[in-house]
Amino acid sequence: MDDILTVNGLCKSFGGIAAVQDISMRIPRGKIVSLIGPNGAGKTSVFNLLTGFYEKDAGTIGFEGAPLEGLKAYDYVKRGIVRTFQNVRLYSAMSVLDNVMVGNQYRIRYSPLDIVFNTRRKRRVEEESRTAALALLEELGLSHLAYERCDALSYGQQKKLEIVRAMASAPKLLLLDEPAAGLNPLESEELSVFVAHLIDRGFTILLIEHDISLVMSISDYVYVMDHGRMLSEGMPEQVQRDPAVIEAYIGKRGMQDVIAGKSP
Amino acid sequence: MSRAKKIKSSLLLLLLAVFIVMPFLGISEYVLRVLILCFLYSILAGSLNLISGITGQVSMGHAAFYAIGAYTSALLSMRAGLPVWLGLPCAALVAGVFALLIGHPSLKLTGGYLAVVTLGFSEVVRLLLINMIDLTNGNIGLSGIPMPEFFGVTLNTNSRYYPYALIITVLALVLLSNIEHSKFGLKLRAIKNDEIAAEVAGINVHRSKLIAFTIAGMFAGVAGALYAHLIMYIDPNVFNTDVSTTILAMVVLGGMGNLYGTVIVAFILTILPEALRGFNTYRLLVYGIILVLAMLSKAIDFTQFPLFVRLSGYRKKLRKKLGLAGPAGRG
Repeated sequence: MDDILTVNGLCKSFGGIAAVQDISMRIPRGKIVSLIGPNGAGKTSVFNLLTGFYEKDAGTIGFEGAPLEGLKAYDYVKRGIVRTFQNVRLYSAMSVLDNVMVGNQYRIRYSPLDIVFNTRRKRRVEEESRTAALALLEELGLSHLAYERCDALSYGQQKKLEIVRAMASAPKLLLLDEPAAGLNPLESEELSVFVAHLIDRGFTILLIEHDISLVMSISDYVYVMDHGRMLSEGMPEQVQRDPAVIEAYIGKRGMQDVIAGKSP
Repeated sequence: MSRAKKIKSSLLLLLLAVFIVMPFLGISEYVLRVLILCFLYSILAGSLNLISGITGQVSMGHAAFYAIGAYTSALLSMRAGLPVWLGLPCAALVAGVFALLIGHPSLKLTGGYLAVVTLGFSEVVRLLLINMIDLTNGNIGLSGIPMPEFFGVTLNTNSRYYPYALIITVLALVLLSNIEHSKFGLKLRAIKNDEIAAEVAGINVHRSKLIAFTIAGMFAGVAGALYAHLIMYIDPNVFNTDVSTTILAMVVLGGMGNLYGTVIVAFILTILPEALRGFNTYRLLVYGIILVLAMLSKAIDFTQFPLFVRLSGYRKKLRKKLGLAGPAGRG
């Protein structure tokens, strides 16, 4: 199968704490793959390793057949990898439109001389970028907010905007770090439809999420981490039945209760 | 072009016309001198606005680049006999090189740390200028700096220097505005808001900061060159930390990232000490009180230019509130 991202034996420790130990995973093109696990399992550390925020201790990361080595965090978008953050990181004092345009900026090209003389070419390119950003907002139902400041948006809208901004960079692989965290059930439902829709637009998605129902409903494949190690992997329904996963989430006692038919 | 944009640009042209005819209105040499100083401070504050206002990297040492530009241009014209106008690009270049060298390590710091380092740098520059006596004449300063000359006309009066300063200032401000309204300006604003998110969006944060810092230093150098040949005398203590803090105050009061506001405040803060001469000994006290009041009066958003476009916006909102919405008439 055509894998867009392959990770082999990834390790990272901080002092004596092994945050990520021997993690291997594959992400097939055009699929939604989820990475789940209890708090502190090391999911976000994996994200930070995949996007250049941490330097890995060992292991290989391959993207589209070529290794991701020695890149700075700002190089990843050029290779086609963009992430979002667990706690929303928007440019809060800027407008919604400007946020999306920042996502788009690395693709627009004109020379410093075009800036100095404010040439027609520069204005045309800027106008195109603005139109593209507005079109994207329109398509995703945020265009009525285009000129609002980001910090005026609801939390759900901010979460969504962060994904829209990432989409504006036209990545091949989108890493979403807990997009549903802090959303109410209705917003979370909306988000799952939104994320599933992203696949139709040709994105491949790696998703970190706590909302199990969201993960199970949209994922093609699930990886489960605990204490920095890969605990289990498989199709959503396989993982859901894996005793090791259940134990990691609700403990041994809880599992016995489940087996005995009591509510945990 | 939208209506607001049209109003804005026609107002700016009107303002420019007013400044162009100013010397022909029989205004005193003294007032023209103050206006030229306003221009200089507009360049200084406008350039600091790029790095401190738009990019959010507070520099307390902008006077250093002002000084480097002034000394570069003065020395080149005095010792090397370079035409005065050629001193402008040279001042920009030398100040830019210094900004690049000092910016590269220090821009890795943020917030108060960066402010302290830049403050220290400006003191180092001042002390170097005092102690490199062979080159700079030390505390005695450089006197007899030549005046600019164009087609046999020496710009030896304020009314003759005025158009020269005006042209340079307008060019500088237009350039700064172009930079602000480009994708580079967008990057800088993103950096001010969230550096980590900016990195993810493919912005080389350190390099962008460094470019902005260097450009700001270059413009400060230009302002320095304009100053040296206007006053014809410079000494190291002209460029002390008071100057840096005044420039920073202009950027802060101007709205941190608002070029129009910054320029307006640059004019106000340059004219004010002159206008307060009547208060004599209480001058600085009154000046301080006015500064504090300006900080407090967020209600009067005088940084928003042009004022009445802003006001018509408020009126629209007010109408909506009062239920008088509908097609906004002529306001």
